Amino acid sequence: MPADDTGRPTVVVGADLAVVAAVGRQVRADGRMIAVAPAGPGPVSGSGGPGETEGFAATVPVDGGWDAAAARVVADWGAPRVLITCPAPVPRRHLADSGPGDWQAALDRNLGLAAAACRAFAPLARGHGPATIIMLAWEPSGEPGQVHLAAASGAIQLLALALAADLGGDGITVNAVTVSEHDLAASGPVLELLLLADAGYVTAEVLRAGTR
Amino acid sequence: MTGGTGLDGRVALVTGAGQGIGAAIALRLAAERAIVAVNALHPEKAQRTVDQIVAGGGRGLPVPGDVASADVVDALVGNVESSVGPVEILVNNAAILIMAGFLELDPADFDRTIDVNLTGVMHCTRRVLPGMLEARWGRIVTIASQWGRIGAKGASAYSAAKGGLIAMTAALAREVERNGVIVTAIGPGTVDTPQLNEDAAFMGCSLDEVRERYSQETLIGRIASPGEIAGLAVWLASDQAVALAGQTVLATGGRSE
Repeated sequence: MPADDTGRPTVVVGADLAVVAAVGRQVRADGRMIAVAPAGPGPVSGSGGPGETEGFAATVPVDGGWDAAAARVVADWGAPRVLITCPAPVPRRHLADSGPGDWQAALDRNLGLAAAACRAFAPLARGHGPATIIMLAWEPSGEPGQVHLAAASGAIQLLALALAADLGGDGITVNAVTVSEHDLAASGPVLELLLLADAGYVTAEVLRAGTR
Repeated sequence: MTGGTGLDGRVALVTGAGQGIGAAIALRLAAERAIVAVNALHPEKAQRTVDQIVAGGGRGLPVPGDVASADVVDALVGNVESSVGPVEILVNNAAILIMAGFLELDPADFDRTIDVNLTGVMHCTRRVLPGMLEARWGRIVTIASQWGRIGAKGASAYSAAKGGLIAMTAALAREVERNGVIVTAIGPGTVDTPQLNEDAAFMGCSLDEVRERYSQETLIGRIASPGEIAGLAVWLASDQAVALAGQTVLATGGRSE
């Protein structure tokens, strides 16, 4: 990963700190990479463990709300150049066997989080030079029980395309990357491509990480 | 980005590298210390790019010729092999674009566009692929176009050819990726190359006007530089490209039509 010579931080956001940490390792950014997680440091989903925040300059909880978390990041490290939103695991469940709560949780922890993070961080990235938002979403495998995952993923992908239209005039590119639950590491090279200085003309696209 | 992509000493062939995107890719590959065979239809254009490579301290050789001819491709690749070794990186960039409405386009021009833009890629790929498979390492990067996804008024043959390239990239990648050969494509939007002169003539406006018009059609308000596309192509020639096998990376500035 080429070092960011702007001195501006990379912010990695997600509802599951284990996923955030895994993506962070793939980004291999310099010391100005910040993890932002809704429930603060520590395992959010129960899948976390020690060492998950290694490599991050800081882990910022969202206990006080997204705007407060974003303001703290900007105050301490500057306006972000990169915002990466991470997907949260979605339990497999047939639609007929699930309730409205399952549906809502899948959307809240994926689409809702991505939208909230962009709502908080994007305005703060304006006017500081080029910036990029990358939204990671799960790639449905086609196996049964992925209706919730697929809906959340599709929504994130289209959110990215729409946001690209809204933010393009501000010099902010927005793309989505789909990745398999079983091969999160495949996101690394694709993130690297999108963070190239020469990738500034890539926006409003959905890239698939990994082969199938 | 110089020297960090693992391309040091690799032999690359870039078609249509006499100007524009192809020349930019050839120069970037040379900056990564690849040995670059420069193809162009006209010998003087191929030589000009080679001269730029050499002036920058790189290694290059001119291999001019028409990629629409299988015999010509066979000969020029043979020249590369005997001079510097088997082609390890192929960048299929050679293309022509004749702007005209479908009914106004001479069928001969339609055929010529397909011959160069689509069949030419087949000839080049087919010629170098056995060597890549034998070596169990190869990179094929094809320069397609966003018009291969969405089509374009006045560019029916070009759009058809580029659409074929996108599909061919996905199909071929599935055939060869397990053998170490990674096939990808880039679908550029509007790039600031001499091709814009042709577009301006078709639209009946000036070059500055066409640049402005295309810029306004993007989400980020500008057209791309050849160097940006070259940067993506060089990355797709690296080991990292495995994660994107079969895909076409669209670099359009968010242009939707």
